[in-house]
This record gives sequence, structure tokens and C-alpha cells, in this order.
Amino acid sequence: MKQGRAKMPVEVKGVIALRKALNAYAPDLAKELTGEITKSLKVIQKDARGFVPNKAPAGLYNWEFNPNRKLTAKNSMFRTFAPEGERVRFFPLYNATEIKRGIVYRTGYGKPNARGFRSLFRVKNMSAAGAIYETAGRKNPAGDPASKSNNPNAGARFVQQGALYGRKRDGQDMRGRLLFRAWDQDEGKQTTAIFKAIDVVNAKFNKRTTVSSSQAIA
Amino acid sequence: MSNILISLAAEFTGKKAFKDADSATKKLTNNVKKLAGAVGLAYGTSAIIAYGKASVKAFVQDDNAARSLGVTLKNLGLETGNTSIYINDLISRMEKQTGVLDDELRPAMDRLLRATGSITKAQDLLGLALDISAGTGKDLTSVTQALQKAYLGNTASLSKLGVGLSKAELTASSFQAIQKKLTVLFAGQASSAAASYSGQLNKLTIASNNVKEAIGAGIVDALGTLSDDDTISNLTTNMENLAIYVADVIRGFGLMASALKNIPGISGFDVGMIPILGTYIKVLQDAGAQSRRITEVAQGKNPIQGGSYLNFTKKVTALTKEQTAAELKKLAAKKLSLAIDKANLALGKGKDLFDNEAISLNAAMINQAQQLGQTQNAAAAAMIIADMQRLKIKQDIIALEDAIASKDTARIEAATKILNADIGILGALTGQNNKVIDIKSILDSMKSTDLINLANLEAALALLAKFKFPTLSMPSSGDTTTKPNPFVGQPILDKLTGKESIDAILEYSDAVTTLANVMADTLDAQNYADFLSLVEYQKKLGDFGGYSKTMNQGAGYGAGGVVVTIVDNTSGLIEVVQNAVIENNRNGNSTQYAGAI
Repeated sequence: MKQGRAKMPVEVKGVIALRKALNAYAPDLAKELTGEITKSLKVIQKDARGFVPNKAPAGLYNWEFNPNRKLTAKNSMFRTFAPEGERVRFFPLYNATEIKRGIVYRTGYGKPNARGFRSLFRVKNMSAAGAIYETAGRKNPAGDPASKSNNPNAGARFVQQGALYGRKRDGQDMRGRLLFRAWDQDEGKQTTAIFKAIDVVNAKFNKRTTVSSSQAIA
Repeated sequence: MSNILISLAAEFTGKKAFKDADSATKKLTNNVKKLAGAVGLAYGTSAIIAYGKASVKAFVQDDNAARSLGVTLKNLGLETGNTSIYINDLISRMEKQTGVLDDELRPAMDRLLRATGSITKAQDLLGLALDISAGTGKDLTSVTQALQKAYLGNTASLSKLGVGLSKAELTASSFQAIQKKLTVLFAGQASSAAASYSGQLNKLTIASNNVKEAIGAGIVDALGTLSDDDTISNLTTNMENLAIYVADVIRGFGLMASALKNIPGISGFDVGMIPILGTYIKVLQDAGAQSRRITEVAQGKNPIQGGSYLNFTKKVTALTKEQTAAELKKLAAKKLSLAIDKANLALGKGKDLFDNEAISLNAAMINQAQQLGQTQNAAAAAMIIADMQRLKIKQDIIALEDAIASKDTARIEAATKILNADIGILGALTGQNNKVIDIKSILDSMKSTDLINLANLEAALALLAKFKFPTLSMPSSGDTTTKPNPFVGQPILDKLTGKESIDAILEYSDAVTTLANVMADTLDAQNYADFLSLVEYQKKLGDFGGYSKTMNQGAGYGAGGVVVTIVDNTSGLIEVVQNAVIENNRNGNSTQYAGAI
């Protein structure tokens, strides 16, 4: 078992307040903090993008995006229909460029989740195909015979061709092939770097906003 | 959209979780209350604290609503001095009659006043709204809003209330007609509702609420007295402390009352029955009541009912007069203080610039003046004049100190002005570049006019008349005799004795300046005469071709110049050498080595 892994996400207090204060009273420090956080997030982002294969895993017929092939509802195996029969959208095809583009980072805090927590800094895998490649086979690593899919063994094929990295913990399945793999391999280094940056900026801000006795007398 | 993300850090911000926690706490509180009720426990201090807080809240809300209504009246131009008092009384009566809380009545009245701009109409419509509210079961706010809109021409919301009028009727009729119909339809509903069991309960609630507001007002006043500052933390702490004390006192009274009840022959409890302590409590109660009345009067709630309103007004007037007098006195003192401050500032400046040594060594300064007469040095004269100016500043300072001692503002200001002017002159003096003429212009401003009189000028002219220019003659060639000093025999100014006045010294320095200028002119004249003599002398020099303009520049000395001719007298020697070489060659002693050209 690897040592030194940080529990994810780490709960912190006062960062939102600190960033608000920085924006209001020390925009340069706010910029500095965002810059430092961005550096760390970019490391994860770059690693995750590096794990995106150029070609889709084998055995998944026609999943690979082909710009020369015109995809229609009739010829697509990966078509999706709403219950009423109206087509909603095509099944997302594997396109390495698209997936890489969909791996992004965000430094603004998001909406609170069901438990009242707001994410402060995050890396996201936003594309649909990227999400499939990231998580396929987590639920049914040996395939799902009961599935009504055209390819019930797709899960097994994914797992065979690309192992899942990370682990399940605290009710969260944090296994994957792109983001979670990059995160797993980083072993919490970036989290540490981010908190160090927060501490540094916080100290600077406190120093700036604290009036020393000599200044106060002057 | 997929939601695959890694959050590197998260912060708990509440919302749902907080809401859950809040609801859980509420549930727990309710359960505890039920439990307490079941086991017959009194809440004690915490309940009193809660009641105290609720009372303060109720008072603040009521106060805000009353203020808001007052502002509306003022904005509409309906406030005539007692209007807000009248409206508050009206609402208070309506509250008691109908069982509707003033918290609802005030905003309703406020809204109707804004729509109608008339107190009478607003009052009528509020009565109608109360009837409709009681008849339809709709809350007063909704009914008032509907009436407000209808008054302004929008009857749609009125139809939604279900008042029994069709849309066509509402659209076709004027508001007056609609109001008339509604008055008929809902007549007596409010009073009937108020008389009902539910209405009586509402009245009870109102009484309780009013008690709460009254207690809240008392608590706020008491806290205002207790708190040295207005911080919320202090306020809440004081509130809790006060409530604890009150709770303890109430408990004490409870114990005492129960003990008194057990005494045979005593049926009820009155504070005054308690010996000694009862008297003190009565005094406290009276003081509290008086404080309340003063507050009410000050807030203009009901001055006539306040009783002591006239006395209060008189006191306020007297106090205002006293304050005005005190302010005027303060202003005068401040003005004097300001003048003294300015003077001190000028004094400070003067002291900074003032050279004590220059004053104490006045005699030395006079000696310098004497040296000036001897050395003809304009720079030294400037220094002396600067020192004299310093003396004048010293005099100004003494005058200003006297003025300050006399506390005469005008005199202080005048002396300050003079001092500042003299300090300015000193600055100009010390900043100048030893120009006698400039100094003179400054001195002119310092001197009295009688110093520059005709007698002085004539004396100066007489001195000039005594001065004779020397006869200039060019010495002959080879004459080594010493040139006579042109200044010998010129008038010499007498030395100063050291007892002269400043004016005399100034006059003396003028004479010195004049003399120096005359001497300079003399020297210039002599130099020019020497130059002319030299030219004449050179013209007489005939050996070198006579006078020319460029003769003194080196090119005019003689027309022929010096010619150097080199005569070749060495041809015999060459011949000898040539012969010697030929001879050597013949004898085999070649002078040319092999390979030479």
C-alpha cells in the first residue's frame, strides 16, 4: 500500500473567507494564490491528459470517432433514443482530442453539495467520452450479462485493456483511468503544495493587515 | 453531464447541513419542552432569558413599524405634528377591538396611506379590509394589497379574494361603487369575529404581545443604561445577566409571596407590605416609571398624556440656552487660543532664526561696520545688515510677548504680522548675493525718510567734489620710477566710535558704498587713460614701421622679416671622399660587400 496518500477532499476552514478578503483588500495576493493553486492543478491536469490513449480500446466496434464517416441514427450502434422514440443525442464517440480538451481545472469555489461542502479547487473530466473511458468497468469489471446493451461485456473489455487506478473509500469510488490515476500517482503532493501556498499567502496577508506598534505610534 | 472530478479541498459552508442541524435542534428543544412540561419542571432562568430576548425583538419590530409609518406620513406631507400619534392610537384601538396585531395593522395602514394619500380614506379602507379579512378568512396583508391595487385601478386581485363581485362588475364599476358594495357585503364582520371565541383568544395574544413589547422597551432602556458601549456582545451579555438577576429576584419574590400567604389574615400580596425593602422597591418602581415617561415624551409618543411634558419642555429650553451660552464662551476662548497659537508659532519661527550671539555681540557688529569702512567689502556690509534685521526681529518678539501677556487679540495679531514681515525681510537679506544695491533698496524700506535728505546728498556731493582725478602721463622709455597711487590724498571717512545709532551706521554704510563706487570709477578712468597713453607712445615708435593696429599682435614688427640662406661650402670635401673611394676600390678594398646593391 502506498504511503502518504492524502484523504480526498481535504476539509479546510476559512479559505473562502480568506479569498474574499484577499479579493477585497489585497488583489495582488489573491492573484498570487490563484497562480500557485493553478500550478498544482495543472500538474494533475497534464498527467491526466497524458493518460488519454490516441485510440479507443479495441473490441468496441465503431466507438472510435471517424470524421470521414457520417453517423446517422440508422448506422450508429451507439444511438440513444428517448422513451417516446425521439432521438435525444448520439452516443458520445471516443475522440482523444475532445477528451483531452475536457480535462480542465477550476479554482473558483463551486456550489455546496448535499452535505454542505463546497469544492475549493478541482480538476474535472468534463467530456462524456472521457467520463466513459475514466470509469468504465468500475461497476461490472467482468461485464454484465443482464445488460441490454449491444456489448454486455464492454466493462470487461475496458478493464482488460486499461486497469483502474485509485480505490474506493468513504463511500466514494475514486477509481479511474485518467483523473483518478493522475491523482493516485501524485500521492497528495499537489494538495500539500496548495495548502502551503494558502499558508504563505495567509501569512503575508496577516502581516500586511497587522499594524505594528511602532507604526501605530507613528 | 458527467460529474467526474477531483476536489483537492472543500469547505463546509452550511446550507443543507446547517438546516438539518437547525431542524434537529428545534426538534430537540421541543422534545425537551414537552419533557419539562410532563415532569412539571419550570424553565427558570433560560426561559426568562428567552422571554427577555423575545420581548426585545417584539419591541424592536414594533418600534420599526411605527417609525416606518411615521416616515410615510412625513413623505406624504400628512404629518402635522400629532398625526403619527393619532395614527398610532388608532391602530392601538383597532388592535384591541378587532384582535388583529398591530404588526399587521401598521404595514396595512402604511400601504393604504401610500395609495390614497389621505388619512380618512386610508382609515375607511383599513376598516373595510378588516371586515373583508374577517369575512373571507384571508389575511389582512392580502386584502389590503388587493384594495390598494383596486384603488389604483387594478381590480383583478380583488376578484381573486372571492368577495362576491363578478369580474364584469369589478371592471365596470368605479372604486367608490365597489367600496360601497363591499361595505354592505362585509358589514360587521370584524367586530363579530372579534367577539368570537377565536377573537377573544386573539385579544389575549395581543395583550401578551403588548406586554412583551413593553417589557422589551424596558429591557432595552435598562440595557442602554447598563452598557457603556453598544457592542452586540456586550448587549447580549448584559441582557442575559439582567435576565438572570430578574429571574432570581422573581424567584425570591415568589418564595416571599408564598411565605406571606401563609400568614393568617393576609389574603393578597403587595410589595409595599414588605417592611423597609418594600419601600426601596417602590422607590425603584417609581424611578423606572418616571424614566419610561421621559422616554415616551422624548420620542414624542404622546406628549399630552406624558403629564410632565410642559415642565420637560421648559427644562429643555433652559438647557438649550445654557448650552448656547456655554458654546459662545467656548468659541471666544477658542478664538483667543487660536491667536495665541499663531503667535506662538511665529515666536517659534523667530526663535529659530534668531541668532542670540549676534544680539549679545552688538559691539562686535559695530566693529565689523568699522572694518567695512576700511575694507570696502560689500559682503561684510550685507552680514551686518542681516544682524541688524535680527535685532529688529528680537524687538518684534519682545513686542509680541508683551501683546500675548496683555491678551489683546488685535494687538497679538498685529505684532505677529510685523514679526512675520521682518522674518521675511531677514530671509531676503540672507538669501541675497552681496549686492549692495539690493541691500540698499531693503534698507530704504527700513530707514526713516529724514535720513535721505538733501543735506546728506549735498555732503556726499561735497565729498565727490573734493576728489581730484590724477593727471596721467606716460613714463618715458626705460623709466623705472614708481607710478603714483591715485588714491593718495583722497578723502577718508572717520572711523566709527561704537556709540553711533543704527541710523547713523546706515548713513555711514551709504557713504562707504558711494565712496567705493567713486573709487572704482576712478580706477576705470585711469586704466583707460593708460591705454590711450600707450597708443600714443606706440605711434611715436618709427623704427619698426610706425604705428599699426596690429603692431601689438606680433605681425607688424618690420616689413622684410629674416631670410636664412644656406651656402654650400662642402664641394671640396665631396671630391676628396670620392677620390678616396675610387682609390680603395683600385686597391681591392671595396667598400661595397657582395650582394649589395
